[in-house]
Amino acid sequence: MTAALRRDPDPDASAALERLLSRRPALHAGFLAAQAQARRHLGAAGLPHWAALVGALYHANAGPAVLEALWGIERRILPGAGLDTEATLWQATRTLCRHAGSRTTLAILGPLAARLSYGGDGRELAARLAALAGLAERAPDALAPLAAVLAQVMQELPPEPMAQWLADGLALHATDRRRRAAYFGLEDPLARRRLADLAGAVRFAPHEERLKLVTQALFGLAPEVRVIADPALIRPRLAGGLLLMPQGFPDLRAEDAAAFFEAAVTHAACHGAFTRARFTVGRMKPVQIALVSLLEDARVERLAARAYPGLGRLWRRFHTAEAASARTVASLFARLARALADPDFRDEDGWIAKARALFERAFTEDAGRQGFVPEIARILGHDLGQLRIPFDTKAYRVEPAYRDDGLGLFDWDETDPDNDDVLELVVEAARLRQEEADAAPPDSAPAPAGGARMKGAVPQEESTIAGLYPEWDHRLRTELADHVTVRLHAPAAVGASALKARLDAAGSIAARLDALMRRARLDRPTRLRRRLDGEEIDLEAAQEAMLARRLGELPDPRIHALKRRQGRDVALMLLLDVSQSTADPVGRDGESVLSTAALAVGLLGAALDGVGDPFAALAFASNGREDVRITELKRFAERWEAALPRLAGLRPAYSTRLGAAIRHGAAGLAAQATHRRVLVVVTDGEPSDIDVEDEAYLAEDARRAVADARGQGLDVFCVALGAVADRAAAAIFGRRNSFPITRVEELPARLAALYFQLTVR
Amino acid sequence: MDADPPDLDCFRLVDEPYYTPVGNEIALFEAAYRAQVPLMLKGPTGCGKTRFVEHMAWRLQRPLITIACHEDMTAADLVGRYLLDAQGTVWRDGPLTQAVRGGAICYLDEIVEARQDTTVVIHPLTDERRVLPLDKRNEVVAAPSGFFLVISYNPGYQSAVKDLKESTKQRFAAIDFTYAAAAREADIVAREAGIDAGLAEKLVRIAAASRNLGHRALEEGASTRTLIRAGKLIARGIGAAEACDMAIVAPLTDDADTRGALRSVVAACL
Ligand SMILES: Nc1ncnc2c1ncn2[C@@H]1O[C@H](COP(=O)(O)OP(=O)(O)O)[C@@H](O)[C@H]1O
Ligand SMILES: [Mg+2]
Repeated sequence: MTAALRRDPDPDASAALERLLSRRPALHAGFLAAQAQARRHLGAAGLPHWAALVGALYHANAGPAVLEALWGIERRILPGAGLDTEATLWQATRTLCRHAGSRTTLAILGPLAARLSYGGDGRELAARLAALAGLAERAPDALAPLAAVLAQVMQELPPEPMAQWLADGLALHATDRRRRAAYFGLEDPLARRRLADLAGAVRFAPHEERLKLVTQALFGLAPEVRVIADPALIRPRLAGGLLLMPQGFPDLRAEDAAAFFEAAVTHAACHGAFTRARFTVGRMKPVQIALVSLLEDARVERLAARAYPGLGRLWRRFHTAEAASARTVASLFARLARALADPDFRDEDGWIAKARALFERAFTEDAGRQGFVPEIARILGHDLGQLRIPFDTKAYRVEPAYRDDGLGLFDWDETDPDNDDVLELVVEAARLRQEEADAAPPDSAPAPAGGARMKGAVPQEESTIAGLYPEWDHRLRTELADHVTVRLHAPAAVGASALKARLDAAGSIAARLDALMRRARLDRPTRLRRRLDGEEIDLEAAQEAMLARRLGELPDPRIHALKRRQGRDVALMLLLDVSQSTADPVGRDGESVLSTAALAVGLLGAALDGVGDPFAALAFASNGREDVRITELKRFAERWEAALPRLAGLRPAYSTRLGAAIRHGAAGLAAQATHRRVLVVVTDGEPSDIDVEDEAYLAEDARRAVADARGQGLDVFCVALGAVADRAAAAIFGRRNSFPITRVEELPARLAALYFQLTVR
Repeated sequence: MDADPPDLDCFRLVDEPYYTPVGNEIALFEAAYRAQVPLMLKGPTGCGKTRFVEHMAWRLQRPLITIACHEDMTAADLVGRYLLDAQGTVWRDGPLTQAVRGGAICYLDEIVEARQDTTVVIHPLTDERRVLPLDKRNEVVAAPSGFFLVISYNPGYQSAVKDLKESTKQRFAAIDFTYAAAAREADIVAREAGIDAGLAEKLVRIAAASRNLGHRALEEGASTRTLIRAGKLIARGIGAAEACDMAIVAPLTDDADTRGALRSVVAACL
């Protein structure tokens, strides 16, 4: 929705409106105050526009409360807001009133106004309001449930992602009012997930791997980063070898995230490289501590920028403090930080000029001498005291935000016992050391216990996390990053004698497979004839060539021959569905789907062992997205014998989150160096899971996973057991790449044959 | 059946190939040459091994025959084979045979790339016999005193399928090569690429940083050769970041995170 001002409003609109409202005592006083304010800030030229906007809302029967609410908002934003913001504010509110009613509009304006501070320009509010008005036009019923959670949504999402979240809700539930209400009231888990995903657009995780490499390359060290969801942690913090990263930075825009996190991590690495010893606190005042940290930040960054000038440019991007006359700690410190980082920055302030001069002299003299930092900090801190500029430990924030909060640079044990002023910092620093201690054994540390996880999803047995995988949401046309947790579950240890007996009993099948295997093995060297180049002459070709010459014809120059062994170059990854449905009985002798499939895998495995193709097999099931359960039957590097007891120990349970299993299998297979890599899924049903209602969702995700795997150069096939599986498989894997087996009893006879059919030219 | 020694003048180096020694490799090479001990130059790719051999050939005034080894290379490619002409079949010496007959320095570059059944043909040349048997021709070529065999070998690439046989390795004396120290490497890059010293220093810093990732994210860091390439592109007016992307980052890796990291490294150094 766009706000447009009328080109030439009635010049007397304001006076006319004033006359009109003079008959409404409830409004009149408020109007006069608002009018005066508008005249002051928008000028005489702006006033008619303003009056037209107010009049339009008044005539839409918005009711006095809405008008009062907007005038209240104006009181906060008008000094900074322009006419366009004003237009959006009034027109969007009018749209809201028209579609959702005054009462709901008021409920929406409340949380919006609560986020305002004095002196803003109102742009953010206007942008949010416009998005909300857009929603009201299309789904007015959504506004009431939304109003109740709007504060929370705004807390987590800046305007643009919020608009996206609103649009997603509309797209997901275009017709179903009940579900729509659940979404916008944040009762729908998908709504919360989407909110988290959009809020997480500026998460650290996607940058972690890259930045580890960056610091390793530049500084030969890679601080280990922990993301900490603690509202008290506002800046990154160094804690021993760790870098604690706040989960979110409220002002960070998604497009700046890559550079921001790079700035943060390289800054931390600078401390690792150049802050040789921790500073002693002793009797330092909080203001001196902050100054030490600020000056040391500048020192290490300047040292790093000597070799890496590009880092200097990267960090300077985030220094946005402008020269000003303000003499508050917040302003002065941010400007000093910039002055020390940016030689071109001009600031006339005497304190900053002095700080700069002191720093430059000491840095030129001996940049490596860390000791000059507390010396200068003492002088500067003293000056601030003389200037009567108060320092508030609680309110102070290191700027720019990529820099660590400095607590990690000090040795808090050496604090003078009489130094009460820094008590708070000591406590905070002790807390962080606790964090460090908790995190101490990085490998052995078990996952945090207790309430953090989703209820009921915590698996009971031993499992290790094998990876986080994305999932494709077809309605949102988005990949939900790190959405699915794949866990490795240890196989049940069972004797394999029964399975071995069944394998032996399947002798006729094995005999047929033997013949196939022999054909597949192809281990005799073959002679490649008629080559331009080769180890030997191809006598036949040579003869012909000589003949051709004698006859004056052009001879074929390909007269050499080569001997080559043309080995098979195929690796197989087999994914075996072991979800609850595989407990169903098959055929007459009452074997379950799963045990029939296990027999088939057993026969295939023995055949592959004979051929020598690299081969791995995984069993998969799922219990919600937090627990996609993989059991490794055989790894590529293992001997085939190891797999039999595990195969015998398989038990049907849980659901089928196919896409995640394919992604995990594909990741393992993609690492194989063979020419062809074949992924075969054996499944008896369609994808499903306990936490998914939308029937198409998992199938669409699996389709996506198959396409991705093919994009990696893998060949993906499905062996579908039964009619249901066949229909699902055709849609996911494509008709040509799925092989229906209607009579599951036939699987043992068919599976291996199918594989060879796929892999022999 | 003995042929006259072939004329290898076209394999002589007239102008001095520019080479800055990193240690005392020149003296070592000369000594090995005089003692007729075949030589293995060990080191990462692009650190100057080939250039060094060229320089030494010029210094010792020997013709130089360089053979770039590859997987499909056969013994016949080294030794020679029968070809047909109007009269029938004729024997054509391979480059190794040419080098032996002509008393040249023969440099087998990246010898692990060749299959092991190919590389065994050099064995008789590397012991006291110093001969090259040409089975197909029923001839044994004795190497004159000027003949010298040099191979290069990159230990970073060792893998189960590609490695030198122990019996091959032990026939050689070895000189270890590494990249030149930063200042010297910058000199080399500046000179070879025709760029100024400041820029060359930056390129060398990029390489040094990338070498910190060797054996982790990368097989090997950026070589001197890639720096020279980047420098040449810059000298032709390509933007520095773009040239580095093209000549250094893209050839090194296809992994998205590693590429991203290397791009950040380039940005940091420029
Ligand atoms: N010490 C050196 N002196 C002169 N040039 C060098 C030196 N080291 C490397 N170079 C340059 O690097 C390039 C690549 O070296 P090269 O000899 O081809 O490497 P390698 O044979 O080890 O793979 C050469 O063309 C040369 O320009
Ligand atoms: Mg810092």
